[in-house]
Amino acid sequence: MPERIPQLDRLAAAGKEAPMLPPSEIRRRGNRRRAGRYLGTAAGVAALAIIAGVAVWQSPLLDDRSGPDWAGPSPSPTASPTATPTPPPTPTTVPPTPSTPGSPVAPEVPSVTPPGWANVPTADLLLDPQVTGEVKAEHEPPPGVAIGLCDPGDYGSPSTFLVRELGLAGDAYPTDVWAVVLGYPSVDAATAGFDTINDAAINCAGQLEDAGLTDARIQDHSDDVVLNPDIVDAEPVRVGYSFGFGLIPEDAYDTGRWTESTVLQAGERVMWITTTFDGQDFNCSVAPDPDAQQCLRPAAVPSLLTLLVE
Amino acid sequence: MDEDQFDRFYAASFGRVVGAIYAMCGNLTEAQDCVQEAFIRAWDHRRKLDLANSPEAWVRTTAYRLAVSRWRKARRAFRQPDRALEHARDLEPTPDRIVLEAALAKLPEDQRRAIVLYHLCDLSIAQVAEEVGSPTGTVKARLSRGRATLAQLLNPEVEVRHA
Repeated sequence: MPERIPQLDRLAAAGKEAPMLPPSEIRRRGNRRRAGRYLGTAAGVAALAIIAGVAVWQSPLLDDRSGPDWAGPSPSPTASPTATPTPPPTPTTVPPTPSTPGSPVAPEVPSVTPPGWANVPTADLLLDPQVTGEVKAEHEPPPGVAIGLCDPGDYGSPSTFLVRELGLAGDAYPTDVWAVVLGYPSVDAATAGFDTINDAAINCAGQLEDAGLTDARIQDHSDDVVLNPDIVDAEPVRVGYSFGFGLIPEDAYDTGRWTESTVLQAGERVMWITTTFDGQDFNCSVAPDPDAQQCLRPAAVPSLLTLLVE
Repeated sequence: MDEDQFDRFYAASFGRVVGAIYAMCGNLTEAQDCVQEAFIRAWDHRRKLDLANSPEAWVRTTAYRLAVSRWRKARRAFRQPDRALEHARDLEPTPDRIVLEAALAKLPEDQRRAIVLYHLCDLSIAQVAEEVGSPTGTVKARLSRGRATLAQLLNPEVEVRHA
């Protein structure tokens, strides 16, 4: 049994003095989180249906009057990296307390226009113009597998989640660029999502080592990206840019695996582009430089921001 | 976990987890906010909670990560509309609490967290290692260094003897 530290016990006793919301309120807010995700999915597909217009009305899909699948049972909850199940300590007997019946929650309808696939960048903005790229896959909501090497797994509470995977053309080439656009119900929520994703990229060295790489390191170059927030009509406008690498063990040529992360926020929307590739160097300049080629992502920031808010 | 089970779990654990997070992060208001948010997420992810044999550890880890995440510190000045429902907080710290808060603040974050989990939450070394994601040897070293530093910072009566 660990020795007690009396002062620590007295400090922690303050926790018992902290006011707590009624459990019904906790459950109500938890239900709102869940409802926000479901409605986000529904709103996204409804927007696509409206864009499709006549084609939808003529589609034999409408012969099924039971309703689209997305209005049915809930999708999988967003995975959260905030906790890992741990083995149980000695079980604690919980004294019974009067329970408060839950109350039905009216779903909250997003008051902002959600982004669509037109806001997700394609190969021409993301890949070197000297190569031929293609879209490998598109997902809505998250694909269920990691997005890049530094996937936080938790993106806050987006109401829209669009993923476009790209790579070099041909079956021999897998996805190495992920373009993600997230729509949030509020600026605060988008800010939280931006920070979560960007923080995960900046603190990704552990994930790289968990993936088997050695000597992993990350460089945060967010401050070096030239950003003019006035080019789009949104607030706030932010950018996070970082890249990292780790050595591939037992590689004869000291090849590293690189990860590059670009995160943009414009109001309630966030764009996250992450790239993974193997190589020995990543020589480019984050800021415009007359003597060195500028890195593709920082150079594309104005175009990406414009696309994000269209 | 159904509503009754959750309500009982919440009522029994809230104060304890707030105390632990307060000891880890040094701010009682922030600890309360983060633990509250962690329980909200716990209800949202209650199916995962059923699979996690220690739901309190899940909530504590979630609250801790919220407390140290940069976005919470950046957004502390903003208030969600729901917070209008919350009670006013008028908790005056005691001199004893102030001294220990200052001492804990001087510890590196990983030592502070290990000490709270081990000495306050009564976890074993192995359980602390699991929760923080570090080897047991590392946890032992953090505990040893953290205790030594605390003993120097606090008055002699707090010196902890080990079995």
